[in-house]
Amino acid sequence: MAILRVERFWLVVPKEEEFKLLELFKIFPRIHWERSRHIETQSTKYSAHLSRIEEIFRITLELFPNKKGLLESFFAGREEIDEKHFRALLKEISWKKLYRTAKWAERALENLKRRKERLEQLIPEIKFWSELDCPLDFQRSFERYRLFSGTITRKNFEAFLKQAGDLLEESWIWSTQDKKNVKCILLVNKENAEKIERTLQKFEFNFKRIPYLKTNPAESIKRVERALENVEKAKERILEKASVLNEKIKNLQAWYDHFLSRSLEEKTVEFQHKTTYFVAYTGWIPVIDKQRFINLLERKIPQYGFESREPLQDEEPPVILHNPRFIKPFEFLTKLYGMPKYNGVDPTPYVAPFYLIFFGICLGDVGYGLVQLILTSWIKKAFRPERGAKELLDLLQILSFPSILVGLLTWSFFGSQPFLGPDGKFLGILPLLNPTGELMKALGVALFIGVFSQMYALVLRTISGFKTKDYKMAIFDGVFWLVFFASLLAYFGLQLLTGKPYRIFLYTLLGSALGLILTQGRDRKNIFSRIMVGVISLYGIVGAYGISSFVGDVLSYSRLFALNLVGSVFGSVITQLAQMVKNLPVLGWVMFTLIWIGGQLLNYVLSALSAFVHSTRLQFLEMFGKFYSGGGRAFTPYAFEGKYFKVRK
Amino acid sequence: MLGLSIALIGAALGAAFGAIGSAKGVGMAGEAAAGVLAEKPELFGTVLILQALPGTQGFYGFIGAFLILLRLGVLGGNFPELTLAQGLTVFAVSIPLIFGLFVSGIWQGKASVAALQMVAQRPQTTGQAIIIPALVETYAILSLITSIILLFYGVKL
Repeated sequence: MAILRVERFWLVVPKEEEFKLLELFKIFPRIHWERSRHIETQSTKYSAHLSRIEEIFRITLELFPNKKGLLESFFAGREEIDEKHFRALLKEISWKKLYRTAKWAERALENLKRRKERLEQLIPEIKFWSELDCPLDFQRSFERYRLFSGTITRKNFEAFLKQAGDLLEESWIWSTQDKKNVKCILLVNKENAEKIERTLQKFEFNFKRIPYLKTNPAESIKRVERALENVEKAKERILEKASVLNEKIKNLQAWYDHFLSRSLEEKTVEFQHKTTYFVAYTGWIPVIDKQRFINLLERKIPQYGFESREPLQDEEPPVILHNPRFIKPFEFLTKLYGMPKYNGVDPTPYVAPFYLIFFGICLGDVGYGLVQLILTSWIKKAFRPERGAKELLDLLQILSFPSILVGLLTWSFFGSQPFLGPDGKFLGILPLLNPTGELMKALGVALFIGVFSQMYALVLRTISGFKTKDYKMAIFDGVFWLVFFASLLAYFGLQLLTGKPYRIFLYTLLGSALGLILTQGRDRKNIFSRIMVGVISLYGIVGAYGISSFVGDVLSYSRLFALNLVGSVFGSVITQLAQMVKNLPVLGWVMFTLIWIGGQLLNYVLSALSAFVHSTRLQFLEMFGKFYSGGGRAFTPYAFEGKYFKVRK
Repeated sequence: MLGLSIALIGAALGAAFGAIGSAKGVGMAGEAAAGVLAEKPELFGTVLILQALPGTQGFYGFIGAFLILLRLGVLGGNFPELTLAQGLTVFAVSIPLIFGLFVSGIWQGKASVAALQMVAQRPQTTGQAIIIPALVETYAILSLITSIILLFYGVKL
């Protein structure tokens, strides 16, 4: 019962009842509507509204930066709200007015920004001429004279005076100098102006504008500074006026959701077949929901036609997974890999126990397990995540239990092993296995889990072969390999352990090997090449499996041991590092706490990420690879849901 | 003391090459990550994970070096007299770290870059994208395990 049975249905209602059906769409979400045609989504009234409100959001965020925490942006779900409050939020404001406010504020601030830039440029220009103790509104252009102003080095200034001596006859020069440079203003006869300009350029005269201002430099600077202050005040006034945007952001979000849901309603046209008097819809509904849906139809729409049937052989019904509560979080992984086919097997319940073991060993530590349990519970409570984020958190929450369990068995708390007796054990029992001390034993356990789960994957291949009626796969690629590896391990293992050979396993080994040789090349026509393929398949490369592939897969499980070791060694290193600073006076304990908490959190995050990624890899490659291929179509109900609010009816 | 020096050089090189590999890998992934974030800042969480994935080699190198120091007793404050042969044996322990971590860190970075481009185009493929670079990490893990086994069963002090 892991994949829900669904039926294809057709629904016909009179055209005037169409809007009631839309309501049904909303309250009865578990229906996969089939698109009747693809309509290019043209920009409607609603999408124009939506983009305007998005613009308000953008401007508001620019004016009032609002930093969302990393956890919040990653996990936070929508706010839950009842319909009455939602309507109230809509009524409270006029979004169009707020749109005008936002645009006005944006423009006004842009102008202020430009004004500020101009004023700020002015200050160094005025400061440059601070030695000029007169109002800066003197005349600049004359009929018979030209004015040059700027700076030049002292040496060049003298050289310039010497060279231009004659030309400067009918001129006036103001200058002031410091150790190296001369600032000067030259008023020269227009007839000589060009020549003088060339000479000035030759002596690297740096031309500088004198800003035109009504007061002397010192006073001007004060005035500019006052103007800058005024700009700041104006900015504050604008922000104050625009603060309504920030205050009413929730109302705006409600309007956004309102229009979003309207535009989604419009798009339901894509599901309709229309005639002059009737509208028809088609889709898939889980069998267990069918009666409820029909009852609802009867209540809401008196005249309707409803017809449904089992999926046909060549149809591809959408797949909806259905598992008990404790297995459900593991559906996250199955969805990640790909939905099973409708007639296939949902692998979720079969591989969930193994995933628990994998993750538990990788993150096997009481401390980190507890951290994970507390973190996930807190995030779920604080941010009310939805959809994918919620599924991931549910999964991580369950996974913290095997981590704690493995942590107990290996007696590991944040990488340390406290309260050990003189025999190196707590109460003489724990740790049952100490991965940092008994390396080989721990590696052995990991490889044993590898052997076991590979065998189990072959069992699943057999089962799924029978279920999908692919009997050849079930027996030749499932049973034969299973018997082959079981006999191989039993025969050589028992010989190693007891010293005497168990002949029965030799016979099953040879029998299954013969079976494999005869069947693994079954897609070849030529009998000779068929047997060749069969023989080679025992080694690997060709055929459904092989000894080398088996060994490779089993070795891959050594990562369980390695990740557990890395996590606990790094944890204990952090504790040691923190202890080094503990004896420092005064700050010792503070630094100890900071280093320890920061380090352990870092190690938790890294270890949990590795544990998740590598457990997933083991499940996807080593296990799913043997029996599961995905390829199904997910059951996707049409959602009218908003982006910001979850409205309760 | 030459033996001990060679042993310590090995441990140091293991940690160093792991760090270089990770630095290069995370750096490459970081360039791609910045590109993705410029277009889609909402993918920050995913992008962060993908960028961090090639960072584990640095840790494995550190753990490897730490275990070597632990095995030699240096952490306890002892400086054991090692013969030249013993020193070289301990150096051999670091060889999987030096090569395996260094090279896998870089290639994992390349895989991360590709995965980041995949996420940028189709954000719904996040799950698969995280698995792709993780496949490369297998060889870093195998290198570390080989070194550990060599250290505890191949070195006679």
